[in-house]
Amino acid sequence: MSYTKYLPASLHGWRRGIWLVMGMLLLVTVLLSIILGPMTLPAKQSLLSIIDQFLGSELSQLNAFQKTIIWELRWPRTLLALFIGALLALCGAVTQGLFRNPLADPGIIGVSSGAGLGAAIAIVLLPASLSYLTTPVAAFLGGLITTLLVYRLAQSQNGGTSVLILLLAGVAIAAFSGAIIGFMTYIANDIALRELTLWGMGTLNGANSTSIWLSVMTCLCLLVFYQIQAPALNAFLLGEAEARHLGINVEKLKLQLIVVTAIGVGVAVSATGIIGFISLVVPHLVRMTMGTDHRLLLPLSALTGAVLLLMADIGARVLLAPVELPVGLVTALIGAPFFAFLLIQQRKRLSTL
Amino acid sequence: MLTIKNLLVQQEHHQILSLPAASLVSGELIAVLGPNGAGKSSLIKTICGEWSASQGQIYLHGKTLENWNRELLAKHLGVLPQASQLSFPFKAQEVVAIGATPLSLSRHDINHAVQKWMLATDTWQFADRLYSSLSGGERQRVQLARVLLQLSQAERAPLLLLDEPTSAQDLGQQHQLLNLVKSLCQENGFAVISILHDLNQASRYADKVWLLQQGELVAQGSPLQVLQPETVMKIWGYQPELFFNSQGQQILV
Repeated sequence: MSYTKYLPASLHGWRRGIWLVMGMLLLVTVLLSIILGPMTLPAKQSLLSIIDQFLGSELSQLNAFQKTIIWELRWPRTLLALFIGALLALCGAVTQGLFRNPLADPGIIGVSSGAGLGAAIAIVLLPASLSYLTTPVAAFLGGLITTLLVYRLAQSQNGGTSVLILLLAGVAIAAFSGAIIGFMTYIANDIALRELTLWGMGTLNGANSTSIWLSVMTCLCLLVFYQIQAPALNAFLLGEAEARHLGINVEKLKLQLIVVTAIGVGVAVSATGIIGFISLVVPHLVRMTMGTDHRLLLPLSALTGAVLLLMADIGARVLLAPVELPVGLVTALIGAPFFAFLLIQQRKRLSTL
Repeated sequence: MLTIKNLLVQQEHHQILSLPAASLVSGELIAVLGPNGAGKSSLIKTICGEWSASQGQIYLHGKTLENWNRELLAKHLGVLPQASQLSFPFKAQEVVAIGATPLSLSRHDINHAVQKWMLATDTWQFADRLYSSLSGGERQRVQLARVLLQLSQAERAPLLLLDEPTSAQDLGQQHQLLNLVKSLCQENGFAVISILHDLNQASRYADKVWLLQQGELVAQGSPLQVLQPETVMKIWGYQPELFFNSQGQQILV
């Protein structure tokens, strides 16, 4: 939004309009998420029910059973989808900036796998009564260790990061954590096994008030923190030396971003399992249409990520109804071809590495 | 404004740079000359603090670099890198605007300053093009505009370090760029240290020449004093002929 003065009028309007468009899309998607599912609810009455809930009025004529579906099942799930989607997209945008590399995505470089490993260990080995606390913390630690490891590995002499090493590190970490998670499955007791299996599919099914509150708070904190760092992130893209000359404490910035992003990925992974590709696709789409300025990129990525994950979840519920697909499967169906498309697009540049 | 004392830079026990004493005052344009591998870029990297010296001190306005506040230093010390890669789609004007990071400017003032410096560096005509689509010389000038914006709020004379600013420019742009830098020295009191390759450009624009060879400062002084044919022969192994043009400037061919 910053240099709008010199933009052609059409683009100027487009930049302002994007918020309106995305906001509308968000509202429509939320409403669809409330009414669609194995049992379709009447749209108008559902909308009235939402209005009732917030204004305390009595307009809706839904019966108690239908209200229960909305408020016990679909509304929590919708909230979780929105905030996890925003969180994933934010973490993706920042990871790409941190690695100065448009292909660096927490899922691809192994950070999500690392967080998943931490979460799996916590689910199986730590007492179930504390799992609401231990799972996110273990996921955060797993994500943090992986990020630090990958960053150290991929850093090249000239201060950039090597795409090749990033991707290979992702392969290695995914294989390693896959093996350990498999091992955990063998030694798990029945309760832990059930939880592990459900969680491992990457599903928004497990929405409960703890996971929702944790996601909402983390998402909002990250949004504020990243927004403060947005100008520094812009400068960081020019190169570490250049950012230092611009008065930025680069070492501190990197450490903060790594830790905060690991928190974000850890919370997301512990709440919903590994949902891939949102963090890769969304920042790319936003960059392609709106440019790279992080002051705009970050909040818009969050909004787009929220809408996209919610859409994917609606798809997961509707496509094979009444059977419900894991949402991670739907995002992978959209995301993997997109990733292949990016590879083709950048083949020339990447093949020289 | 810049004083260098007993500077010694080592890397893995190899001495790469030794500078017993050098200084410059505001308004001065220094050309750093020397053959490849003489330590020119190392000198720039050490002065801007990217590399730390094993021994010796560098004072900017009487204070060592470590004693400067980060943001204040950024307003007074700008570095133009030799080449910059950007793997993200920034527009040229967005790259320039990043120069405002350490400054306290309103959005409106930033827009204004971006335009001013892009016009000055002859880059305004592609302000809306993607940085990655520009040629090497155009990118370098965009980066120069960014650095000049960064120094535009200096409270005391700023120091500008240029690492081969003319390397990717065509002849016209080389002179336009050096004229701009020269006028910043004369009118705004900038001090500039620039790595140059063309000896005649150095004698035409620089107030002083620092001649480096194998990490040693072998000569410093006015271009006329330093750039004698026998010195050039000794350093570069090429015997030039010396001419003088109508304004009495020396030309080495």
